[in-house]
Amino acid sequence: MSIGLYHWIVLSFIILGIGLYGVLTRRNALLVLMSLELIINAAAINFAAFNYYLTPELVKGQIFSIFAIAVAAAEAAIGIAIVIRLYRLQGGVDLTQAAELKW
Amino acid sequence: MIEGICFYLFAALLIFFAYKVVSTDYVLRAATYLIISLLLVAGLYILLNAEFVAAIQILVYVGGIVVITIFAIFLVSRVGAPAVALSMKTKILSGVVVFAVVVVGIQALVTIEGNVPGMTLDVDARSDNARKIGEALLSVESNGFILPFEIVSLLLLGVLIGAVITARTKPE
Repeated sequence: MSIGLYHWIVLSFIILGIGLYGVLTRRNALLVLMSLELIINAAAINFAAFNYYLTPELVKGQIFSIFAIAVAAAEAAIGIAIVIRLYRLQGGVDLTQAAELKW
Repeated sequence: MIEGICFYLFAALLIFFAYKVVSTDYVLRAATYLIISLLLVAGLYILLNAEFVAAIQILVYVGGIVVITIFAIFLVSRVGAPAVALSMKTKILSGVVVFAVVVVGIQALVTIEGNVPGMTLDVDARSDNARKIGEALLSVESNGFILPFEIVSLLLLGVLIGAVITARTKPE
């Protein structure tokens, strides 16, 4: 039962698919943000897995995972600031109601 | 052997809880399932000999991102009320899109499998990766990451200011 890179990429694809489904079907902005976190995690798992199987003596893939986590933190902070602004603006966080910039 | 069992266990639990994140009706429950999913991802990092990334995952994701998400949940939504679902048509369409993306991706993977070196390589444990990561992040050599490291610190400063400006109330 040896685990190859293939297994990790398939797992990452499945998590990506689940996150994508959440982004497409959720109406609550916070739930969309949580689904985005799942997608970023799928990408970060991929980086670490490629590091482990292709260049185990270097740590470049792990560094990319850390950068992905840092960018995810930035995305979450800005996203939640926008959600709070949206709530003040329209009294809710329903994304189907957020049409302020449409004309 | 034990790695295989751990991988399949963590992967199955991760897929289950990730699905619960996108399918549950209550926002706070989704956040709780997200915490469990992120801890399982940290376990997967340990399987990949990336203990330092696992520690960062728990510190930054569970200790930071999910906590501010939960604060935001308490600020902007009624916790007891179930989230309104989209129509069945949107759900089915999204399911088809997701299925297509995953199937096409895995299909592409099958065609390249075997052409990538080390696809099934078994690697022995290396436990000094925190030292290696620290050296690589601050190294000015050609394989160092000092410039992206500084750019990320600038990004975080910009995010800090941007988040405050975006979320504050106007002083009328």
